[in-house]
Amino acid sequence: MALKVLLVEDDRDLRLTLRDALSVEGYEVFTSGSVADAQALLRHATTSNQPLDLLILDLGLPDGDGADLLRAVRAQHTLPILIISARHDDGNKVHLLDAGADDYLVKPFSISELLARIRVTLRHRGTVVLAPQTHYQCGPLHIDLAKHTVAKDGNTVHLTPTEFKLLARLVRQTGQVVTHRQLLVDVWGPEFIEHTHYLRLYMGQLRAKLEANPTEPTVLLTEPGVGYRLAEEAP
Amino acid sequence: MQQAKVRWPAIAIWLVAWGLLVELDGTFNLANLALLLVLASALAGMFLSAITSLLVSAACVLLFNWFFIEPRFTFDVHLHQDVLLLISMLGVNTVVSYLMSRLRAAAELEAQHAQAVEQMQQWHESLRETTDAPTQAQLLRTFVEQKTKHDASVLLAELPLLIGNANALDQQGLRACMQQFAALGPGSGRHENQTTLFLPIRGQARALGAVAIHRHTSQVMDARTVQQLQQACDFLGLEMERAHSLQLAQLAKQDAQIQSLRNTLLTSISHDYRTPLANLMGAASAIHDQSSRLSSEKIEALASTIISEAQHLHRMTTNTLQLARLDAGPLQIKKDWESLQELLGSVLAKARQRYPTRQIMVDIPDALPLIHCDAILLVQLFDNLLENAVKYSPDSTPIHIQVQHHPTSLDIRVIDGGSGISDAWKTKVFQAFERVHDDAAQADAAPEHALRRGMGVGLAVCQAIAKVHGSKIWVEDHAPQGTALCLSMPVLPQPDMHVQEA
Repeated sequence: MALKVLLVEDDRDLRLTLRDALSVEGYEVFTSGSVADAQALLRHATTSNQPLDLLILDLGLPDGDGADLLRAVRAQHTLPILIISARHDDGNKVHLLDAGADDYLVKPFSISELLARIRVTLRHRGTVVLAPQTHYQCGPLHIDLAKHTVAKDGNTVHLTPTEFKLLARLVRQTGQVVTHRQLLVDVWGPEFIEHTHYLRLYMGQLRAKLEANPTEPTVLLTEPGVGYRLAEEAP
Repeated sequence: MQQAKVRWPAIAIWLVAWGLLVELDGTFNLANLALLLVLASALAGMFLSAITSLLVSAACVLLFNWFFIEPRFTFDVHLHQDVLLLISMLGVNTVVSYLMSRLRAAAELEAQHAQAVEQMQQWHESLRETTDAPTQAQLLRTFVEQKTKHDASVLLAELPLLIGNANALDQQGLRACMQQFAALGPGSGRHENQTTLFLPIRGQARALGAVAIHRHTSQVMDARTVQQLQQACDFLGLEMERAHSLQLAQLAKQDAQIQSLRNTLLTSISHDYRTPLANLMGAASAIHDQSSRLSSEKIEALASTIISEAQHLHRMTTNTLQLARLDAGPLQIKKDWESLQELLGSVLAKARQRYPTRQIMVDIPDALPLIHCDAILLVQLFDNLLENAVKYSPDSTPIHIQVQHHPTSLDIRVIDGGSGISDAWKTKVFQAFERVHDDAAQADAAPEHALRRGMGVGLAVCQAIAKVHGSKIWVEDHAPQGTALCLSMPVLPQPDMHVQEA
């Protein structure tokens, strides 16, 4: 059965373009151009017991702010939410991610970028209810969270407890950006929210141990001003 | 307490004088002794009120008569000379006492005046501490009430604001006072029969409001107090006008910033946007109009043009907006501790994606200090420098990124193997909307120059970003060939890196 996607975007042309592109990829696409419309569709999906699989949400809508809709939806539903926005404001991005968005994409973006983000977001669908990812493989790197082991080219890499905790936090959301705040809270604790320099230090150490070229990482990726992202798995 | 303190010198002076009189009796003649009495009276007058001084002096004259003038121990006076002496003594004593008391009264008035001035100054200062008009009006009301011991109400016409218990008639009076730009009520020469005194709050050329002092009598108030109250009102008036003109200046500044932002955007659009738009239009219309006659390879090539031109426009838009934002004045920059290696790494990743065949070499030392910066702005800066290097040098030449760690600075160089920039242009390249080879004919002459467009805003943004980070950016020649764009960032004291292993 085709995955159901609700696309909320007020620009008609972009809405149609994206709808066609997603349909070609085999998604069943519902579209809406306003907050009220989107809420009606979400209610209908819930009552008719045909839950949606993904919400793609634009921020600037004619009858309200997408950010408010994000909070309202997040309070009731666990479905993954991907933000598409023309606002090039990174403070805002961080807020959206911290408010429960699964990922974001800044306009303009290419269809391939959108599809890649959708794939990642859908793979993490239900992280709230299902067991999170515990195993990761990318190139020469193998990580097994359950067994507490990290190996590069088959050789065990020794990590300090904090390094492992940080890496494990990223593995649980492979492919998705994790904000500085989320990392600091989960690895060090809420009182360390301002200590971004800890992250710089530990990410540097992790890259030195795990990357072939720490300056041009292929696994532990930087999202400047937002957070870090573990590259998608690749055999 | 105060009185006792002040009186004792007078008593002492009289005691000493009488001691001397008794001591010198018989040695000097009567006239000389009398002079001693005059002197004592004058000195004691400095410390006593006029009446007391006069009474004491008169008593002393009588006592002098009793003790020293023949026949002694009677008030009789035998010689005519002695009568004259007594009368002059009494006269001199009277004059001295009177003069002394006038002098003292003047000094007291002076002290009161000084105190009032100081009170006024303190009040001025408290008024200056706030720019909030209602608070200022309340301060004026309190001042007037303290000064007059009567209820007062204040009207500020522009807000509008009325504080205090003013009935309809009072409000009418307040407005009339404002319009006439002069005081109304007892002592003002206008509406003398009123019990309420109205004072205008005067600015430079018009009244901004008025104060009503609710008294229960039409008696004229002390002129000096009224003058002080008027001064206080005028001070508030001038303060309010000052605040108003400051506000206007602020608005004018904002206007100018908006204007400058608009100019930046307009110039950018007219200068740099037409070419990519023309290319977009050309490629898209070709697909639209001729797709049936074009090969699939050709269509793909046109689509690639559309994508790359759209990316180019996106980059220019981002740069122009950022430049306008940075130009427009104080902006919220979110600085944090960042790793230069990480920032350069993410810029490189994007560049390698954009230019997969271009050779880009990086030389970054290990263990660099953290920099305190806005990550997004710095990424934009490096991205522009790299884009600039790619566009202004032949595809076959490599690009080098070098980082040098000095004790107080981190120097980052982006080096290309292009034709270099002449000295005359080394500073101009950072001005928005200027480009090397701005001459269109010259630009078209060399094929690699076809790529050289739209970077004027790019380097201008770099400079603006460097500026808000206390960093320098400049152009250097690179031997044997090419150009280095250099950024020097200060190394700040590092944050505490001591981390407890979790």
